[in-house]
Amino acid sequence: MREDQLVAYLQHRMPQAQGITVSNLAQIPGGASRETWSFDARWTEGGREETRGLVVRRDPGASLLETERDVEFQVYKALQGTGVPVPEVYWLETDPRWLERPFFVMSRVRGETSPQLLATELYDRVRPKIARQKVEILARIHNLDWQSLGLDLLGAPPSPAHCAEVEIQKWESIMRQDALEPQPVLELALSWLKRHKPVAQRICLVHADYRTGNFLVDEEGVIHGVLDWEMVHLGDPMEDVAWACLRAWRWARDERIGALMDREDWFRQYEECSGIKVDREAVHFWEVLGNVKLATIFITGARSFCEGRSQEIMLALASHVNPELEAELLNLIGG
Amino acid sequence: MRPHSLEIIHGIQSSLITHVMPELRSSFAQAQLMYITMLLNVVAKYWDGGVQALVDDNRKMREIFGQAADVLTSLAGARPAGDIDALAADLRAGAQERPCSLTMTDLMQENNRLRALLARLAPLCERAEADPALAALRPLREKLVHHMREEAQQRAVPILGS
Repeated sequence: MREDQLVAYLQHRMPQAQGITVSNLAQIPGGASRETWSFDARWTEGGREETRGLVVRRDPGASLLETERDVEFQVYKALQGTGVPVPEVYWLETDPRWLERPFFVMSRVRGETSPQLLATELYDRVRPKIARQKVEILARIHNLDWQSLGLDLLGAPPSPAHCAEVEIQKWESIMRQDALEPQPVLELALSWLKRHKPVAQRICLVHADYRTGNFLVDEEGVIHGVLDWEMVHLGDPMEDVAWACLRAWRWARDERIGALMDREDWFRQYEECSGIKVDREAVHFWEVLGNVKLATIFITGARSFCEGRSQEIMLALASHVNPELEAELLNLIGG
Repeated sequence: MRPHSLEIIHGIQSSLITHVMPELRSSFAQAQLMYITMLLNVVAKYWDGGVQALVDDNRKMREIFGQAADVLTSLAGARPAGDIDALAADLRAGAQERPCSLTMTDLMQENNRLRALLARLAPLCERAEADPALAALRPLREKLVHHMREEAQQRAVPILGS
C-alpha cells in the first residue's frame, strides 16, 4: 500500500478537501484475517486545517477465515452512540482500483492491544480497572436491543434453543471443507458438542472474538475501543463469556483469564453488570466449542498457506497451535 | 556431518535475532521475524523427533484398532445406527502393519491413513457415553482419549503465550 494511493482515495471521498497529505503509513502486525494499516491524513477544508489518524482494514489475498467485511462495517456503524466503544467508520470500498482489494476506513483509536504487554507489570496498577471495563462493555453488548439497531441483518437463530446447533454446524462445515488431514480430536469434540447443547437464556449480539488482544487500552487502563468484529453474530451470550476463558488467551501463563482476572471473578462481575446468570454448563459447552472454532480457524489458515493462496508466515505458525488446542479439548471433555 | 540440521536451525535463529532484528524499523517486519524464528522451533522439533513420534503414534493406533475391531464385532445384535461392521473390518485391516519406509513423507502418509480411521472411531466411542447399546466401547473411549492427549502433548510446540 502506498501513500499516493490513499491520497487519491481520500480525494475521491472528500472532493471538497484540498492539499491532502498522507504520512506515517505503517502496517500493524497481527490480525491475519484482514490487513490493518495506520496512517495520518492532513487536509484543508473550508479554510480549516484538518488532521486525522485513520486506519484501513483491507481484505488480504487469502486469510485465516473469509468473513464479510460489509457485515463488519455495518456493525461498527450500528454501534456508534450505543456506549460500546468502537472506532468511527467512514467508508466501505469494494472497487479494487483504489487499493487492489476491498477495504474500509475507520478512525484510529488510541491505546495498546498487545496482550503480552498488558500482562506485564507495566499494567499492574490499572489491571483491575481494565478487567472491570472488559466486563462492563461485554454486558453492554449483550444487553443491546439488536433489532432496533438494525442488526437482524446478521440473521438470528430460529430460537434460543438453536443457538448451539447453528454454531456447531458452522464450524463443523468449515472444518470438513478446509481440513488437509484427518482431525480425530475435533471429530470427538464435535460428537460431544452435539450431545451437550445448551439452551440460551436469550439471543443477543455476540462479538465472538471478545478477549484481551482485541481492545485498545491506554496507560491509565481506559478501554477506548473494541476491535475485530469479523465473526459477530446473534446467539448465546455464554459464547462470549466462555471465549474469554479459553486457555489460549491466558497470556500471563497462569489461570487468569485474559491475564486480567480469575474465572469466578469474571463470572461474578459479568452477572452483576449484565443481569444475565452465568450458566456454568453452558459456559463449558461454549469453551469446548471455542477450542474447536479456534482450531478450525487455524486449519483454514493452514490450507491457504499450503495451497499458496497466502504466504503469510503467521498462517503457517498458527496451525501449529492446534496440538495445544487438541490437548485442551481432551482435558475439557476427556473425563 | 556438522553442523547438522538442528545446529543450523539454531544458528539461523540466533543470526536473525542478533543481526537482522536490530536493522528492522517497522513493528510489522519485527513481528514477521518473530513468527519466522518461532516456526523454526517447529522445524527443529520435527527434525529430531519427528520420525520416532510418527512410528510410535502409528504403532499405538494399530494396537487400539485391533482392540476396537474385537469390541465392535462383539456388538453384533446391539445395533445402533451406523455401519459398525464396515468400521470393524476397516479397523481390523488398519491394525495390520504395512511396509513403510522411514521417510517423513511415507510415515506421514501412513499416519494420515490411520488417523482417518481414528476420526471414524472417536465419535462412535463418544456416543457410547450416552448409548447403552454401545456401552462396551466406553473403556475404549478412555484409552483413545488417553492416547490422543499424549500424542497431542508430544506434538505441541509452545506458541501461545510466547
